[in-house]
Amino acid sequence: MREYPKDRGDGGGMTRRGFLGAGLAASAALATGPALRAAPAVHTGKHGPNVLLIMTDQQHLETISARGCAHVATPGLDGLCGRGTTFRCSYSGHPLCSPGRSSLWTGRMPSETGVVQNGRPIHKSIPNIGQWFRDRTDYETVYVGKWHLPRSFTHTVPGFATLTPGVSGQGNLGDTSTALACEGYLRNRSADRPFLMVASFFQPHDICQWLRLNQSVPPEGRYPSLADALPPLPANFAANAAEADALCRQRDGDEPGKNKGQWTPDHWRYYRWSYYRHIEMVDAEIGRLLAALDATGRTGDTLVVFTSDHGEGLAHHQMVRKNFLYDEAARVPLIVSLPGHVPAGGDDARSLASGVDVVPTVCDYVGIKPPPHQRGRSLRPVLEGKARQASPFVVSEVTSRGALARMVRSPRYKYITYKGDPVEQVFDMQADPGETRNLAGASQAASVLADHRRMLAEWEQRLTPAPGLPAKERWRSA
Amino acid sequence: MAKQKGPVTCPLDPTVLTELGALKAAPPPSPDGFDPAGAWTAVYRIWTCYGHRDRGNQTMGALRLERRPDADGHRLAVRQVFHQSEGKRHWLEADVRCRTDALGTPQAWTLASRFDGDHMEGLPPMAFEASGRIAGGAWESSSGGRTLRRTVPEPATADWCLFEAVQRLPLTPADPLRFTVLEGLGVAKADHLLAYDGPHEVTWGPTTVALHRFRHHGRGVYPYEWWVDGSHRLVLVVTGPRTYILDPKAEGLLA
Repeated sequence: MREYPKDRGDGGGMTRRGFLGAGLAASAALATGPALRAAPAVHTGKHGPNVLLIMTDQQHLETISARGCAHVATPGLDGLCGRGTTFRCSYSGHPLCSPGRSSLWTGRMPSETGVVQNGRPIHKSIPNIGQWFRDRTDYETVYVGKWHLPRSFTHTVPGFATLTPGVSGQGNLGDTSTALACEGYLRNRSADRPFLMVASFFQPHDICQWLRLNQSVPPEGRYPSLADALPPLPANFAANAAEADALCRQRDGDEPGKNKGQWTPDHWRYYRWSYYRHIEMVDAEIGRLLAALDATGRTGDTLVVFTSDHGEGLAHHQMVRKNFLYDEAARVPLIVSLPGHVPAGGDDARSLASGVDVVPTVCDYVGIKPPPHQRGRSLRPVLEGKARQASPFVVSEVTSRGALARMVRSPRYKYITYKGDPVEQVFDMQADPGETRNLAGASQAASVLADHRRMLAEWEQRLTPAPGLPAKERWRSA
Repeated sequence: MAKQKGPVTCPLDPTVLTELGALKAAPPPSPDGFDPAGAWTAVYRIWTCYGHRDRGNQTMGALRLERRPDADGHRLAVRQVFHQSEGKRHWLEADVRCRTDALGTPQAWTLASRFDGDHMEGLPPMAFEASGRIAGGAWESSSGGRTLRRTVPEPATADWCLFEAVQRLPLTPADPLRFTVLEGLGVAKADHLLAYDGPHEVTWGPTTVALHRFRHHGRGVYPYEWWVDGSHRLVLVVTGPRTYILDPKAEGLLA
């Protein structure tokens, strides 16, 4: 097994290489669909496009004002929506920080990267996108902000030169440094080489500090003057009747008391109000970064991909934080922009997408073969109107409270199952997007349940679990 | 006595900060005849809380503000440092010309951002400078030969300017101030509201002190609490998990 070479993390590129032309086929990991191949690069000038990957941490899907959220003002992301295409049905590979990030940066599922819990490194045999670009292109690869594979805030990011790691555990401080480091880099760099830059913001993850600082509920409310400004509770606020044991334990374990009557409806609403302020904090920094891209004349030749590692419960199903498979945690925003090549103002609510699609998509636009065994697909055919769906279904993984879970999302349905737990869930995502009516026991959904079990079993058969993953962390026994 | 463990469970204020060990000594006394509209220098330690009683809470930087009256109002010299992980520091410095009105409205400024610590070979530096001005809702910022023009709802001030302005506000109930904040003179956040919230007796280190609190909230920020003493000196700012504690010894962090 090839070990991906240790590097200084300087991401500077060792030799100048030309771009690969079309006609190289890569092995496909999916049973359906075309084999991945290197398409012609999108030439936007002297080189292929620059690449700017913007990531937030713990961003709920419905937190962009241009995409209908009335509780938040997000001029930065609104601008990006206006010049790119938004995917409304994009899912994290695993809605938890390190695992979700491992999928984003490799195109592999977390059970393959070995990152099924926080604080683990990507398995040494699997390259991240920085390493892949460094070895095959002359792109300057730079990383700014949170990494978390394994260390959260570190200068040691394989395949990349790190501008700044950010401020440990405090997105409210560190994101400003992240944005200003990116701005300085953009202003001062020469245009001799294209760049691949990752701007990894920490907000709205600071909501976790908020939860620890606001467990208690004052009788008069925290800020009486805000009473009229608090957003309503979500329509699917109530917990579902039958859920897997691990999910119930997670709900009760996070800030115990909130589900036992100690949190009033207004305190839940204050939590939601506070979360939207966290979103506005990071949006301001994203806006600063995009303004710097404009100011340095790079908007027209830069592929921008924006997403988040996972979502946030935000009181839906009375859940907070992440690491479960309801949409609030598993589904994330995804916006792709490349003026002149990606439709401006596009709003795709139909195509399924996943964090594992980011690497093949970026490689496609740059014109290089992606790493082997990609589990996702390039979204470029969908963006160019040449395909209706990149993938017939997407899968997400969870390891929580000692339990393993899987989600299969097809165009109409979602299936959730926890290993060893008899409770399965099937939701009609068109009729019941709030996931409140479990169809798993209904006779009319029997064929849907069977189909999704089969899709999951076939998908899992094709994965290569990370070497050394203990049996209790493996979905398949053998 | 062993430190308590577990989440803090309630927002930060002087009493909670004392329990967490952030406030160990009494607040520095205000100089005799302190005039918030005169010339003064204030240094704040930036202390952050991770939400746990026993871990993750630490000093993450410092902020110095120097106020000097001039013919058109006053000037505010700002020097701020944020500690990045693994030894790097991020510096922001600004020189701001302000009107001496209720919000200390900024009129024109220069701003510099730089990082120190290991500089990776072959990478461009991250430092840059900018200048800006605001008048009649028109906000211009210039850097590298390019100017960006935006509009902002007025009145508008900067977060650093509020550190100065809140010290000149009357310590009596009044109509709330409504404004836009230019945070760090770089990003605009609208719909802010600041109001006097009365006198409060609080535990601060080994003592009990009488302070006055202003409360402030708006888009894109945690709610702020501005704590001033009877001489109108700003001794503490709390905004979510982040605090600014008046501490002359923090000057050492700004060297």
